[in-house]
Amino acid sequence: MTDQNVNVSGRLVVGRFRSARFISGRMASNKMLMVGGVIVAVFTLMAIFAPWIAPYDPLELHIKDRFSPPSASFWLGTDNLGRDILSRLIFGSRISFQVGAIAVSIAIAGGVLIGAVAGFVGGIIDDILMRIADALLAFPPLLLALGLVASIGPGLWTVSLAIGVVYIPRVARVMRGSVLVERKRDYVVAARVLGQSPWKILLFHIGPSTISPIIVVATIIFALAIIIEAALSFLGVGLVPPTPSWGIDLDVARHYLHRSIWMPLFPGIAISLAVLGLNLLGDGLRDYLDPRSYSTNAANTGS
Amino acid sequence: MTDSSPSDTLLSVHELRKYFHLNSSFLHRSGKTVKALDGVSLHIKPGETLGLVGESGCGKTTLAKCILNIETPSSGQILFEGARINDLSGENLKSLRRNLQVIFQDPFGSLTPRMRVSRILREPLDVHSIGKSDQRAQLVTEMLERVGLRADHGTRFPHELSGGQRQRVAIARALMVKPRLIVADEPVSALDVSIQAQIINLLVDLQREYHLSYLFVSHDLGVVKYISDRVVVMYLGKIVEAATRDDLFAKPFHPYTISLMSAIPVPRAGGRTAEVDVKGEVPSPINPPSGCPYHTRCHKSRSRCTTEIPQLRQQAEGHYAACHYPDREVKVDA
Amino acid sequence: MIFYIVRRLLQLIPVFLVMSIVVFMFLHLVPGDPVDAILGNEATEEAKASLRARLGLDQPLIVQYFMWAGRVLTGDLGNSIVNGGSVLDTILQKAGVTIFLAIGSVLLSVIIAVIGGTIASANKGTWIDLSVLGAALVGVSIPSFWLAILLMMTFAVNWQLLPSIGYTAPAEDFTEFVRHLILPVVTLGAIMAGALSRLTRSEMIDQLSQDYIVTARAKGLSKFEIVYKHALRNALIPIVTFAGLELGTVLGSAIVIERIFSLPGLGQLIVESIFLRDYPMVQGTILFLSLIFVLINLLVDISYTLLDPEIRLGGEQRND
Repeated sequence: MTDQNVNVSGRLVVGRFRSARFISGRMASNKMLMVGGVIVAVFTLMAIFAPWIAPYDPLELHIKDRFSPPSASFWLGTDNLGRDILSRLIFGSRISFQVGAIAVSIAIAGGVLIGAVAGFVGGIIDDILMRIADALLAFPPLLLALGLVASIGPGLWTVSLAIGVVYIPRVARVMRGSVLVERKRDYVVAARVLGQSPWKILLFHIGPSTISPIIVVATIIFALAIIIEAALSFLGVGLVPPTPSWGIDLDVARHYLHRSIWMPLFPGIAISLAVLGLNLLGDGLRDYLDPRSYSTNAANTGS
Repeated sequence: MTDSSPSDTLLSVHELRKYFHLNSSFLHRSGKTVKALDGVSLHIKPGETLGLVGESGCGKTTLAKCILNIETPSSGQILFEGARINDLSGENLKSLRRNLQVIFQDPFGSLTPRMRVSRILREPLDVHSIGKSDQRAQLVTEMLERVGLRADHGTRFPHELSGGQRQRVAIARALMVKPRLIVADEPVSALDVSIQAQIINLLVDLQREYHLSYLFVSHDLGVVKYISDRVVVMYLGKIVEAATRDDLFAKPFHPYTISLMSAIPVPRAGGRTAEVDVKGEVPSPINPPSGCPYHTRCHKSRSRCTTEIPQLRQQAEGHYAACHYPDREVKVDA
Repeated sequence: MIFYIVRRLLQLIPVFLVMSIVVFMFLHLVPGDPVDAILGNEATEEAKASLRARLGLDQPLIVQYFMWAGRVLTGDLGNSIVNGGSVLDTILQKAGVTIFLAIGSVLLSVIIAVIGGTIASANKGTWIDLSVLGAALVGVSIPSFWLAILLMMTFAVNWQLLPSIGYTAPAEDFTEFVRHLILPVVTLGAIMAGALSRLTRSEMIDQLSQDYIVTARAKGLSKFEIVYKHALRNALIPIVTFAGLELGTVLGSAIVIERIFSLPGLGQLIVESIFLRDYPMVQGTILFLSLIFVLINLLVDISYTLLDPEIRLGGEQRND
């Protein structure tokens, strides 16, 4: 998918080109961080408190008010079955963020483990694991997710699992890279000289230093997971109607383009905003957590 | 250098070699070898400080890492209290670790970034089961105070400390296990000059208190002169001169040592040293010069120097140098 | 150079191996008995047994894999469970639409990106620059299927300028063929143009600050000549490379776009085959698209290496 390729695979595939940022500099990155953080926070709150915020049950049919435009009783209008679009959007954020959270957890758990082992153990194990990771990265992500969902079936958990698995190799690559850098640092040598066991060194010394890049990649995978879930649901192979998924709502909406512009408009805005927020957050965090700026800062605090 | 009886030697290194093979990927085999250590021998006595001097790339850090059992030497022996240590593993290695510790140049890189100081200092106690677990916090506090920090520094992260404070933490960590020998790899080079003196004095005090030996690695002869009992000078993986501190500074034999000494700033008026320029760059260890490794930069290189490798020979009582034409004329102010 | 190409080809062997195992597993990850999943619970035992034999499911997994992989190597992707037709033939028959869509949208995205990125870089920091960047940001963030719906709603439903869905073969009626492809191509092209114009802009800004540009300025060349003749020519290499890589990813996006516009391409084929539980068809199509994706990446890499002598050395030394 193009839209999701832009942030991660765009950067991975074209790693040798200069990274093309919209804005640069510390001030700008703080702004990105703030705007992205606010957007993501709003969606997170919406997802958590959906039942209390939403004016209606997202599945409740208001047969008399089908296709109604935004009004005092239905702020964003209703859909083809008279369901409140706003309520479906709010509950949709719950679905999106659930899928995102589960998929990211799976990708992080698998990727961190595999990447850490590959980077720390090295040798033939590293070679084999990274060859496999490269092969999995060579699949277009949506295609791989589609194939996995085709075999393990539709639903929130299977979709999240499929998306999570698709992004394991990406996390593994990032993790391995950090471990390779960190394990040469003096503090690791010092821990070895102290006689600390290799696995405790990996866990207590190297592990915490790899958190920053993992947080950044997790944010971006979160955005990708939201898009892929929406795409799978849109294609009819992801979540099952009448689940209030943004992707499902868009799929329904495209059949009623002549009746309602509100049905396709709002779910699309929701997806775009959520993805934009997460991408800004990811970019902002990347600059903010950059280990180089981190150590320069720290060095300046010297007496 | 001379063999010394095991009784008065803490650590001895015999004919140590460490070769790195470059870029031997599957399809490209360049076959190039870097001789990071090319037959190095030395020894350290209990309570003694051995200064190890040389420019970067001369193999001094590789030597330190071999002694610390971080790198495996290609050949040669390392003896600690007479027992061979270069292929230890398991419990034997662990008990060696208690006796052999390290301090690095960059105290920021050598402290785990996301660990509080108290945890950094407690870890060695946990690893080696030193003290009862409820006493360990007390031991950490005592050590913090011993190295000139306050107890509340224990709650900080390394990046919340100054460079000097960080190096004190690194020293404290090395001391937690009460080692016999500390390898100090450029321990003050990254610090401000004013702080350098404090740290050096701390090291000297601690040496007296704990009867420590130091292998003090540095490129700075000025610092080495201050702290060392004996000094070894390395050049391109080989020892080129070795003597007691006083002998070496009174009467250096090797032209390389002389050129290094001329680089020490001398504050006294009139006390000008014989200036000998270190000309040119250090040759690449991948393509070391034939004959004497120093001949490409030596001001008195002759034809013999380009073909024959000079051996380390006793030039005066307990004073060794590897030079075909050891300099006896040039005097350096000690 | 030949050595480099051969090495890159050899590196593809493990990639293909892992890919084929993953695609093979699509059938075997099905919870329970895949035959039940395909035929439903009411099917007779004979029907189940015959399908099981046809899919080779009665063999041990390893044997099944090697039999399947052996057939795939000879170009035999199996037969459809639904209509018995050859999977490869079906794929080749439907590939044309996807290829037209992919090439068209990549070309369009390059055109948009080069124009937008160049104008932005030549007016760096002005409102023109900012609006190009803003448009690119929108392109990066909105999902392709939503843009498709918006375009369809505007141009097909409201203004009735273009057909909303369907496809006409170019041989049949070329004008209709073009009319049906405009919206899908514009959708994909616009989405891709977002990232590409960011890249163009930064490449151009970089080029414009190079010494030779300063020299050209000193020689009195006009701003237009400098930007278009000199800087753009040099910036094009990375831009075209990126676009080539995008051609591969478009194959993924095409699935969704084909679904929206009812284009009978490979994406549509995958989705319909999933609905019909036609696993050989799903496996075959995904494998086919993935292989194309990998090969395009390889071609782009090789041509990049050919074009840019600076990269050539670095590329040969690269170890991974």
